[in-house]
Amino acid sequence: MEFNEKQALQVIEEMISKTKSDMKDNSFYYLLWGWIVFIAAITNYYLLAFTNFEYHSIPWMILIPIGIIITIIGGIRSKKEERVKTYIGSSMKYIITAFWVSIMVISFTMPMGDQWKAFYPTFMVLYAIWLYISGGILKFKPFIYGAVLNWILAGVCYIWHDSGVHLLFISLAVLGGYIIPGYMLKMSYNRNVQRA
Amino acid sequence: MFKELDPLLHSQLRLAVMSLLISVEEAEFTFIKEKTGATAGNLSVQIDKLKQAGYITVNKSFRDNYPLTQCKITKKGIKCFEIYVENLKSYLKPA
Repeated sequence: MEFNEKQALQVIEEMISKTKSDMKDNSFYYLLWGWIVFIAAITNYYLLAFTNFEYHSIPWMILIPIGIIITIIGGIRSKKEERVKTYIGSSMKYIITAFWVSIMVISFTMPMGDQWKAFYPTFMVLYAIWLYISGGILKFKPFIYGAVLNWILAGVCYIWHDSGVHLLFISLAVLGGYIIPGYMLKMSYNRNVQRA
Repeated sequence: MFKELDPLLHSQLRLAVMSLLISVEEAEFTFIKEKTGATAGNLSVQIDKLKQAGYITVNKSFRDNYPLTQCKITKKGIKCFEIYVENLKSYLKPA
């Protein structure tokens, strides 16, 4: 059977659209870290505002290592399952690394230097950068709105120095930046899978 | 006027492989097999032809004791694919 020019064009279109629809479900890590930060911040706020418990920041010390372990295991597993390397995926890896290194630097050095006033807002600024870039690359608007929310809340926190307010604002920041958009991303991925 | 189409690319499966590889950085054999719906034997033969022509590179290794074949389009492959698409347009333009 002869392969004609129209069929050639169809093959090209079909194959390119197949790689496009092969987008991974990225929502897991947004939801994991969204919930971890949300629960840690709310619990920290409760212990600080309503109890006399001295170690009120203990939720962070329990939940963050759990999150790191799950992320590392998930990363190793998804690397094993990765059958195709995309240009977007490769550039995202550089951005993720930059984001994590910055988070680690802040997490360790700011408390050591007693920079508590700027601690949570600096996280929110970093969250905003990450959300804005990933929203742009994935063409997913809810992350862009989440970024704007994080920038606004960070700005308010830099001016309004209150530990309780900072904890409530960071939980609001991850709710609007990670948790809600994370579920929306999951839903849109499921819709794409059903359609494909 | 109709321009000549690269005979190496003007074949359903080879063109499908090249179209997949042009949009990604690197892909495994199993991924290409799944997306093209080709048989492993036929796909191996066509991938080998593309490799011989210098259109793609094929890297064979092991992952968890299983053989792993990864394919990547070369600069020459990209150039030839672009020329093919350009020439294809001359056939599809209304006379």
